[in-house]
Amino acid sequence: MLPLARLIDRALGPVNGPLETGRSPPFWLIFLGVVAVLVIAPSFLSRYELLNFSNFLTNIFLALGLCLIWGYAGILSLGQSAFLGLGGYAYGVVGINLIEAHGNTWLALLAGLGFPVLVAALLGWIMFYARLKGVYVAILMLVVTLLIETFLNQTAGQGWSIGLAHLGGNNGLGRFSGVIREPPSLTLGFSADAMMIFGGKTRAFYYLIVGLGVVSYLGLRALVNSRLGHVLVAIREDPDRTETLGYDVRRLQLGVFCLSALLASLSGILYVSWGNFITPNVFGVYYNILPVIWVAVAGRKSLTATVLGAVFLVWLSQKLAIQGDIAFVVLGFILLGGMMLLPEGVITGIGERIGRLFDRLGIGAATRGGRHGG
Amino acid sequence: MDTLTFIVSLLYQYADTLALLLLAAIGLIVIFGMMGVINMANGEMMMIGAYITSFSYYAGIPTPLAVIFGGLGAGLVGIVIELLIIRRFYGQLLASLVATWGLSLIMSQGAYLLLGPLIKSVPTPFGSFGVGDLSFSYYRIFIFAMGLALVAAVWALFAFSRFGLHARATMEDPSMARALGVDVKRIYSLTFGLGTGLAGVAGGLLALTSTIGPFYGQTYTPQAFITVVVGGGAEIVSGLLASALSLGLVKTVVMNQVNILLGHVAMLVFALVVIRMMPSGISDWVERRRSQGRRA
Amino acid sequence: MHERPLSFRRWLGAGVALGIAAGLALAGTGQARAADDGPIKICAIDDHSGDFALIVKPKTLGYQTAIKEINDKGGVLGRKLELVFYDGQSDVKRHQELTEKCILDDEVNVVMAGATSSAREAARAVAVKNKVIYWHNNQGEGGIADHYSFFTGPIPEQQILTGVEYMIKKFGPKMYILAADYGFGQVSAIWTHVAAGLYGGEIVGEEFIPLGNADYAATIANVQKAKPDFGVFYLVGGAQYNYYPQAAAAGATIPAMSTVNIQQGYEHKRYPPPALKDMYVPFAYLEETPGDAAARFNKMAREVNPDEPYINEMTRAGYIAVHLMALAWQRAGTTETEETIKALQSGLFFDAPEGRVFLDPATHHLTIHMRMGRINEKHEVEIVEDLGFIEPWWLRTLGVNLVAKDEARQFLPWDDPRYAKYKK
Repeated sequence: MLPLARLIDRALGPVNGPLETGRSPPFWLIFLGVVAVLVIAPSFLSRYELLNFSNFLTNIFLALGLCLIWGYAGILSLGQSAFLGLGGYAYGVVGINLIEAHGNTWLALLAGLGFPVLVAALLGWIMFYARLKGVYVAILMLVVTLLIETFLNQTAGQGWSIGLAHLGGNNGLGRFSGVIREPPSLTLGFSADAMMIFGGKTRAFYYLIVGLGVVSYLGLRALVNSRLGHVLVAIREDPDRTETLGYDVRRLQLGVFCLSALLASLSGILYVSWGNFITPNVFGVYYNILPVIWVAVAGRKSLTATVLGAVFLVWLSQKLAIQGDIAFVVLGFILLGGMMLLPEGVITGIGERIGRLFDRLGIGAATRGGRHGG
Repeated sequence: MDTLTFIVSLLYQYADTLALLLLAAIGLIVIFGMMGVINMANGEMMMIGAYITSFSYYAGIPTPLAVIFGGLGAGLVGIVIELLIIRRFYGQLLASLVATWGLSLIMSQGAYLLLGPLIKSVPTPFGSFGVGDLSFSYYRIFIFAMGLALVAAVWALFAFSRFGLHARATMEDPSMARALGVDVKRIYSLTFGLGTGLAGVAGGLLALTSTIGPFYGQTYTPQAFITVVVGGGAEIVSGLLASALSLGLVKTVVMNQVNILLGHVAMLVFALVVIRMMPSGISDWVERRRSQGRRA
Repeated sequence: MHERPLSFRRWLGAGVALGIAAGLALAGTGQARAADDGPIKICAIDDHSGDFALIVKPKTLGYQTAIKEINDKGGVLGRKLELVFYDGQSDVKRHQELTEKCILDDEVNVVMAGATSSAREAARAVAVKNKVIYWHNNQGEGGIADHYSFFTGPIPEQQILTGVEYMIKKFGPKMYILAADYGFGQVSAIWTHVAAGLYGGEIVGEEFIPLGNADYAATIANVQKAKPDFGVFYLVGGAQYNYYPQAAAAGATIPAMSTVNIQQGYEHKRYPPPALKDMYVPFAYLEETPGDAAARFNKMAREVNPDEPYINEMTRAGYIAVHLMALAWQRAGTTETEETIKALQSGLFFDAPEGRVFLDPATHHLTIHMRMGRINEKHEVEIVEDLGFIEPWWLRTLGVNLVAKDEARQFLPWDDPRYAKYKK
């Protein structure tokens, strides 16, 4: 068993490190278990449950992006959903225009990923190269996203079309004027016969998200545990000192900000692929406070905690919606309570305790640093 | 429309815009300047002020007193919030921002659940006057004057009172102030209460010319934020005035000449340009220039 | 970094535990499958929280009142009607998700969801995709011609054209339009232009107000400068209502017509008089509607919920929708979708609280008895004109006939070549 364990350890090297909770064999075993459950889940879920679960999972990337910039790089942005919206709209607009001509959404996907990153680069350039203080970045992003919402709301008029895609204002992309042209679901493939449509109800869509989720999660783990990740944390802790050590802080902040925009836009594209519908609502206050709640409550300094927390809280908000009027107030209390009682995050806190329990029971590594860097 | 009417109309609109910016931002900037904390629940403090004003008015209390009650009520709530919540986040500015955002959600939604979607609005006092073909509300001019008065009061408080002295010392260097015997924690509590109290008064004043509901404050929040960001926290009073005057000018002119949406957009673009050049706000930039000048 | 190798047994144990836990979690989610002789399920998604709760909550009362009335008489086809209700939270995504839940999980027979155009389209898209009958039960910008979609609320040709015609006759031709800057406001503004063109009116000014805006100094000045005979206001949302007290404070109130205010948000009950004096409302239903049918309806509704602050147009719309569905199911002899749609298109009529309504087979909209109300200085409603029974004629004049052909789209005034000349 020993050489195998060592082999696994080496393979897991890049994604294991002090900057992310969980790196022992039990953790990875549980991880594999969770992935396995996710893979076989569609066989046990009804049509509705699968559809609903897929919807929950689309939010993962938005949460991961915010966790990256806030938890690791110390940049709080209260407008992450703006990139989700820009990604969804860009994808939708290009998709509506090209789906019949091309029969696929490759270009739309590219547009959906690229446009928000460009906007993030512009905004980031303004903010980070001016060395804007943290709180300013936060509320500036909020103001920007609200303005985009107001602007898009008034695009219902006839002239607001980009090609065949009518922006439609509050009625939703592609729905208001003339023949309804919904933004298409992701339609990807390498030849005309082998096209796969990732509609909201399909298993293909579900597996796409699970696949992308696992890849993103592992990729981000590798990123934060790499040298770059350590520099980001250094920037979070003390940007001036990091700069004196010779790192171009502004460029790194800009880079990680753009990466978070990319992740958010992925959530947007998947949301549109799921429901073929998007309105300017996604730029509003409520949609921007949600990822902040997920990340703050779950544990912003841990990717794992963020993913679990996001899915759980999305499920919780939906459950509360079904119960009645109190959803918003409960979320507010969860946020406030979480920040006050468990500032490192609920799931991180639980993870720590399990880790300590494992320690006492003698399971797993002799070295366990649950408190590295917070 | 003749020139006189046009000028009066434009000045009136400018004063109106300034009133909104000053009133919405004054509570926020006092707290920000002192503690670096952005109180995301500033809008809800305005709502509390408005609610108390409305309830007091309909309970028979004379209007000026009702507004003062609104301010006191919001101030008290602010002190409680500072003691229970903000204390835990000293030095963690982003965390306090998020915590107050949670508070904002609880208060606005809670007010909605407990008190319903709308509160009886209070009739606007003072009536109107005409110039040429147009008529204007005296009260809107009054709240502009009140906005300036509040700013003057804050300035006087910080310049002349003992509290103001301690507060300025704490702003400058908290550990030094503590070493000199200033009860820094008390200063923070009182300042936070002052900030929320100012927001409450602002809310009460605006309540006499608005519809009042649980999301009352959220209308003013984005504008308040922009004003504070552009003003900067280095010098509360001068920052606020400089910011409001410039942003207000841009907004008024564009709104008047083009349309409302572009007025908002222009204000934001102007703000972005300013902070690109003066990242910590106007007051900070001026501060630095002045201290450089002194050295040279 | 040497780790003590975990024994195979512990790994296996952990894996099994995980598997059991996961299985239990998944198995816990139950599914409600509707039997064919169980209750007939009506899905209602209304906003009971968030920005629109004030105006939308009364709609649920309409459904409840109708369902109780019908169930007390024995139900439909020997089956009871059951309301499956969810809170839309004034949120578009929620409407999508909950409509999916209604259809796939609760397996409802009909969906009645969404008040604002965005929520409506979100829910309607899901319903149509799943081939389920959908009803929109409040006023809207009209023009939707779709096989599965039905409407009970008044539409522009019934409210705006008739209303503006009355205002021009009473006050003069010059009007100033204030409209919320989004789809509904923009379409209403265009219909107002059409009305001006048709009835000899003149648009002396038009402004689109961004949602959430509360600054009106410039707007008030502009309105005064233009010297209109009356105003046409499509102001939506708490922030936009600030126009009224500010205009009153500036002594700049003018007689005005509104299709959104009063009949949804009962502003005349919530604002102190005389802020809304001389507001004119072309309505299908207000709680103050005259007649025995209206009085009976108000009474029935208040028996179901004595605490409802106001019976608004949405209550009436929801009430009618349930009754029409019941009639259709009865006529079809089944709840099967296509048969029901055929029954809905067979020429149904119903004695609604404001008068008899007729469901037009070609357009899926109602012929409605419209009236013009005026809010006086005491904020009471005076009925100043009986506008008569207005058919949903516009879509027909565009050649829409849903019995013969499904259009599956929304027509807007700019799609009508005859109105091109009126668009400014």
